[in-house]
Amino acid sequence: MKINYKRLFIASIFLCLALGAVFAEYKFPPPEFESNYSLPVMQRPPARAEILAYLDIFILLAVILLSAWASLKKRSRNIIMLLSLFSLLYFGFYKEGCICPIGAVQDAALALSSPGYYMPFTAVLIFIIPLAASLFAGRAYCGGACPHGALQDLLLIKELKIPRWLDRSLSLFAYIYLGLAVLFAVTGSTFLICKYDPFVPFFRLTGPFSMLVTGGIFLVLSLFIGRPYCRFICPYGALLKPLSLVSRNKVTVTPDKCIVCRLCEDSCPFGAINKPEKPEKRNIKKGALPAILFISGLLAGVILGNYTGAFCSAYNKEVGLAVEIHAYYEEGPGPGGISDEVKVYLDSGESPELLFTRAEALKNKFKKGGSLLGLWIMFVLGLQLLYASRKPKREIYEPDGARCLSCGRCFMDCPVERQEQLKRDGQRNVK
Amino acid sequence: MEENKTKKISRLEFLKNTGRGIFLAVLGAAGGAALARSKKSSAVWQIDPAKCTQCGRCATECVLRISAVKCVHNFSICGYCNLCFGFFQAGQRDLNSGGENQLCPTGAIKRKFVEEPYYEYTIKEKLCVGCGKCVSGCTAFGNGSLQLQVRHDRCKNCNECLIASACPANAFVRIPAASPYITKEGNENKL
Ligand code: SF4
Ligand code: SF4
Ligand code: SF4
Ligand code: SF4
Repeated sequence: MKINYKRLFIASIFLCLALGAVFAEYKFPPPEFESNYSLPVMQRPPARAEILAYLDIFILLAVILLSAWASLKKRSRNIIMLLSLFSLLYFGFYKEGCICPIGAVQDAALALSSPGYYMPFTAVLIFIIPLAASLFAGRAYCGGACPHGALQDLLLIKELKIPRWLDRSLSLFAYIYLGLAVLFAVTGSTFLICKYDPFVPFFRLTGPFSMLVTGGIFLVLSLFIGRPYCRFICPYGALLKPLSLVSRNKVTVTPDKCIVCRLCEDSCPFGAINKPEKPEKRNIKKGALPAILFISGLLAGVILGNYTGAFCSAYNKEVGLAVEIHAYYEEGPGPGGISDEVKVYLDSGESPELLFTRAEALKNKFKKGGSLLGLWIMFVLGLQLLYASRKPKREIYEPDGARCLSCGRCFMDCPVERQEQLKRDGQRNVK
Repeated sequence: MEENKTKKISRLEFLKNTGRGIFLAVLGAAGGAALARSKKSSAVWQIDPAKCTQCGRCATECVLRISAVKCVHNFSICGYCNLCFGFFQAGQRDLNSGGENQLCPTGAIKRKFVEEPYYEYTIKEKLCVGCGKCVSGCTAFGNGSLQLQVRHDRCKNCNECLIASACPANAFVRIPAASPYITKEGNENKL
């Protein structure tokens, strides 16, 4: 009995404390109204319906399949053009860009490196589907389904030829950009690709001034240069290139045998058509020199990358905060007072040592990632040099497996194709 | 000669097939791992009100010219104060809705008499720019019934929210699209 009293006493103390806490939570207790006033309800406009995300996947799949069929089987530029117009309207102006496979590269990288990251199922599919398709049907995504590509493609009016060497060198940038974007994504710093996307502000018809300016530049460039973003910048293109190089089916200029009439030579606005070549006498210098050069190149890449990584880490929020906090403890608040970041951190009451350790770890991650990035760039560079110096035996005109964007422009320049079409039309008329 | 050629072509074919096999395996592994970690529901951006410090960047950093972030009111925890710290400027002369007394730079808060001594405050969302001034006043001196939220009828759901990457308090989180708000009353997303 005695114990029970004690319990009751303790319980009532807790009850009082709890009641006190409830009232203390609100400095001004919510009133009991005497008039028949009813509390308004907070409006909560819903987010885009979940089912629509699945519809997007379905449409993406359908457009890629159609585009593959139009570029490989039906061989019709008109259908490809209609598809890209649809994609521009749907994925571009209706869906307003996000999320697209190009940006999903970063989500995938982040999800793979840090398990806690919220990556929806549909985003994974958006990332994977075009890549998988390119292993079987070439860059069907680029041809008909990518709104970025479609916008540039439909804008091209007067094409300026870019010398081959310049085209090939500029296109190396895409690999560097891809590496950088992955580095920034896995360190949780920022999504470079999204931050500097030139076309999304146009799909939305609004955006930060800097984005609108870059977008404007790319739009003007697209009038004269065939798909500048696709060829030189797009990091997703950098992934698609090696995949479509080994694709099972490839776009061909001619439906039958190439008769080497040279009519299609200049028809590709992206410089993707390879000419027939006779293999020259190969005079590859045997010996250790190329190998030594390559290995020292890789080493230089690693070392330079390490420095670049350390430099890039300054753009990470956490590292930046650590620098600021350090300065604050060393020199006190600067002339402009303390920043919001510092204020929030000081209020949190965490020991700065913890922050410094975290920042140090991040910086190391950046350095390591930077080294890998350097290795990657050197590797791509070496591969590209090897690829360029290789003199394959080629007897016909054919699109480059990696660079062809499946646009179908070259088809109608081929006399064999036109002949076939005439034949088909004739058959139809006879029927 | 002819035989030589076919051999060469088949060697190329073989290389290609191997390459395709390798890429397919890598793609499958990466995709599988990503799928295993992925969440079923789509994601949206939202502000965790417990972390937000009303720094004002929500008004300036959004990709939209007028931010997708707005002030919302949790009526059930509001004190219906006559002197509302979210509505009146500090040092106001009179407790009336004269523009010179108001804290909100766009006059987006409506003050309505309910009964002595209570007043109701509602946000006219069209006018709100998400600067958080009222939220700051209410949180510091009042009940904290005003808070900032990403409004999903406006938000473009950027792959990386620009406000999130600028927020000094790391208050932005990704939450399931099915319950896309974190409000102080009737909270569906307890964090
Ligand atoms: S290369 Fe061009 S078409 Fe292909 S994904 Fe990139 S932007 Fe789109
Ligand atoms: S389909 Fe023809 S024109 Fe179009 S990118 Fe490929 S090679 Fe060039
Ligand atoms: S940026 Fe962050 S801290 Fe500033 S008002 Fe927005 S949510 Fe709050
Ligand atoms: S996701 Fe984009 S539109 Fe939405 S609040 Fe953030 S920046 Fe604004």
